[in-house]
Amino acid sequence: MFRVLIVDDTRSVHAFVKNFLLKSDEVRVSSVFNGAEAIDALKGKEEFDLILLDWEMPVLNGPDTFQLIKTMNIKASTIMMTTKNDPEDIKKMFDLGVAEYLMKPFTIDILFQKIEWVSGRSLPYAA
Amino acid sequence: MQLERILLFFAKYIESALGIVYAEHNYFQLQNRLEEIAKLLSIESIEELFTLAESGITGPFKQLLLDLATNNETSFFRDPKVFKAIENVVLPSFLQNEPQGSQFRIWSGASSTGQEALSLAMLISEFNLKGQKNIPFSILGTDISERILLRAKKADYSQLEVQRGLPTPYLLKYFQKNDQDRWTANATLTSHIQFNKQNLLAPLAFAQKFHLILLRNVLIYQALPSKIEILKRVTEMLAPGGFLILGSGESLLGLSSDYNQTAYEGAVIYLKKESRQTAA
Repeated sequence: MFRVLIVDDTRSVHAFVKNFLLKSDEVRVSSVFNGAEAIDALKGKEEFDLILLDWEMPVLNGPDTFQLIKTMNIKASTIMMTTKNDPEDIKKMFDLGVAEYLMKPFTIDILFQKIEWVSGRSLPYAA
Repeated sequence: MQLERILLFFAKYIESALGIVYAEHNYFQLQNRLEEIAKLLSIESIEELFTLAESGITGPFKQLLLDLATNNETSFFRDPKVFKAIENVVLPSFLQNEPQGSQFRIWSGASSTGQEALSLAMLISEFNLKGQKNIPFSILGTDISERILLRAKKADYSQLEVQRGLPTPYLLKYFQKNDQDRWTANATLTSHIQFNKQNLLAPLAFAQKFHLILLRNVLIYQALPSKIEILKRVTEMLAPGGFLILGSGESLLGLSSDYNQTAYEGAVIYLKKESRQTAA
């Protein structure tokens, strides 16, 4: 089983990503809508392999959430998703340790490729 | 009936000019492309386009037709296995067989919008860095489409294009974002690359032979005699012991006996036989 945590305050992103990820029986997806909810989810019983983390969110934003995640001894890789495309911003996130960076808008083939890079999981892709 | 006749006319023209064969079940695709050309030339219908064609296909009309007939779908590091094979088989073989300081010459034979040539430049730059080597290299990208070559020469890509196949650390290292939210390849890459127009069915006039030729997803669109003709010309441009790489769905089976096939982690690459073994 490949377990994905989507952290984004935009519901359409959840729907878009889930629609494709859940085509595979081997993928389980959990949805939360801000960083604080993500931290709660990560403190819970369920373990995750991948976190898709939005940058700009209410309550706790992506970078602050990621800083907390780093202190939690979590195995999951994190892909930061954002409309921010300033090279300095992107570089900052890599320096912090995110595994990949996804600039919105993106297409599903791009997401799946990045998932494969960071997790080694090749997910069946059907448009 | 009239439409079928028109599509057949253009299919025949494209086949004679480019060697690209449109099977009848792909005529709908040809029809879409002709409609696109008609729109670009401000012509009302395919029928009017046909009338124009009957008086001669020249100038922008000809170029548009050739542009749209070719398939320009591409991405960075398309089919990553191929790049692993270049890193682990082709480059070590070059280092072993060529005198130190020799220039590694590559021809990207259907370079499209330039992603393949840039990917090769990144691959060799990283290979040099990792192995503390300094292999000088040059990449020639050719395509038949002038519209596409113009884009390749600009080396300027949309946000979606740079995300397709290109790991973000490479994007940060080798590209600059411009004011239009597009990303332009750095001179550290583009200074190694030259783009020229080349019809693979026309004579090839390159000054030097290449150590690696990529001809991916080109032969697949050609009729058998054109496949053989192109391969013959390409083989002449490959240095002895050089490598040829085709698309993942393509093979030399029944087309050429000038190569030994080898594979690296699923990628098939072709090693040109030494001249004494090469078929006449």
